Amino acid sequence: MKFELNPNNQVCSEVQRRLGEYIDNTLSGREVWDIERHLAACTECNMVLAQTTHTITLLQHAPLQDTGVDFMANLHSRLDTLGPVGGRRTIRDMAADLFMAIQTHLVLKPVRTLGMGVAALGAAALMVTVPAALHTRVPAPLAGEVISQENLDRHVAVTASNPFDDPVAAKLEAEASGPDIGSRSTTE
Amino acid sequence: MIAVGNIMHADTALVLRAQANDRAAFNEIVLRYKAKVYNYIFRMVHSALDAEDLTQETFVRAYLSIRSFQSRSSLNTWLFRIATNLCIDFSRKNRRVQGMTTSLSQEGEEDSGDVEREIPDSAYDPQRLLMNTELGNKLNEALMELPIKLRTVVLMYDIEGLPYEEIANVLSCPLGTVKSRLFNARGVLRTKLAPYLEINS
Ligand SMILES: [Zn+2]
Repeated sequence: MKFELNPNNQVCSEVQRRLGEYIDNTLSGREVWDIERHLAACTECNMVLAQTTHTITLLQHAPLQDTGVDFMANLHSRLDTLGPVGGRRTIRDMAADLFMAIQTHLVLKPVRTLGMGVAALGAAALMVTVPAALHTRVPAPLAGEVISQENLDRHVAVTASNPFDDPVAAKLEAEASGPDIGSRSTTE
Repeated sequence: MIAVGNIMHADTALVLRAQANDRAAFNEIVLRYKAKVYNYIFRMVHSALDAEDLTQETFVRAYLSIRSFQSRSSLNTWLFRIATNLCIDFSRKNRRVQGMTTSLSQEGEEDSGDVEREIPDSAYDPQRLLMNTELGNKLNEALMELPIKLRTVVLMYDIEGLPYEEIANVLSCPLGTVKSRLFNARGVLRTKLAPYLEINS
């Protein structure tokens, strides 16, 4: 595409739309050529180019922030209460892993995994009825809180959904934070 | 490319060890990524205290969920996704983060107790938290005034140096969306900073 000088500025806005990619050096040689030809003759686009370049340089040189000196100590004392890496293995965790494995297979082999799904549902139902003594999470909050927080953790960590529009996260967050959080949805 | 490959390889080894309950390996992951994650979160929420909390939370969640981490995405992407989700949740609950623009733009507001409250006590060096130059302050303000969707992208691309593809993975959105948000974000920043940029026309 060729950029000609144009009184209604459509060409300028097209050039300006691509200046970021021009600066990032992600355009083809032909596109670079076209843009530079236009830049050679257009004061306004040159101004925008200079400002954009300067803005990007500022961002790239913004001073890096780092955590406070006691970050690691604080983190480790929190991790100490959570048990081994991955958290304490409860039967619910194993059930969740089973579900995860099934989900993965489901994409490839829908028919065969249907039976597995039914089996897993049965297993999970059984596990929920297993006495609470097996769930040795420390400190021990209410069982409902643990489930909500675990669900939320798992969801936040592995979800493929768009975090900006994530009703599941919002719902889990609400469950995990209890009733006294300000931003409750009105539909409950 | 070799360097990148080595980092990926070392990350994979660390993740596998952490998944096998090696706390030292998890510690190594934290040491490797905490500054990156903190810097990103700090610029998302613009409060050292909240950024510290959210960074802790990011690694706690990573710790709890590392068994479900799969090498489909990089460790970097995964941690940024957890951090981004936490920041979005945080901003949902704290209107201040999304709408703090007025208080930050007002002259003399820097000295008010509102900002002081955000600086945690002894362990922090205030120099580290606030940029000195006027331009630096303007940049911070302009970043905080950006809608959060644009802010995430410009922070990840221009400050953290993540490629388009990785950002698209973090946000689970198409590549084109990343590009157009980046364009819009840079455009807004440029317009806001233009009066302070010394450019010889
Ligand atoms: Zn032009």
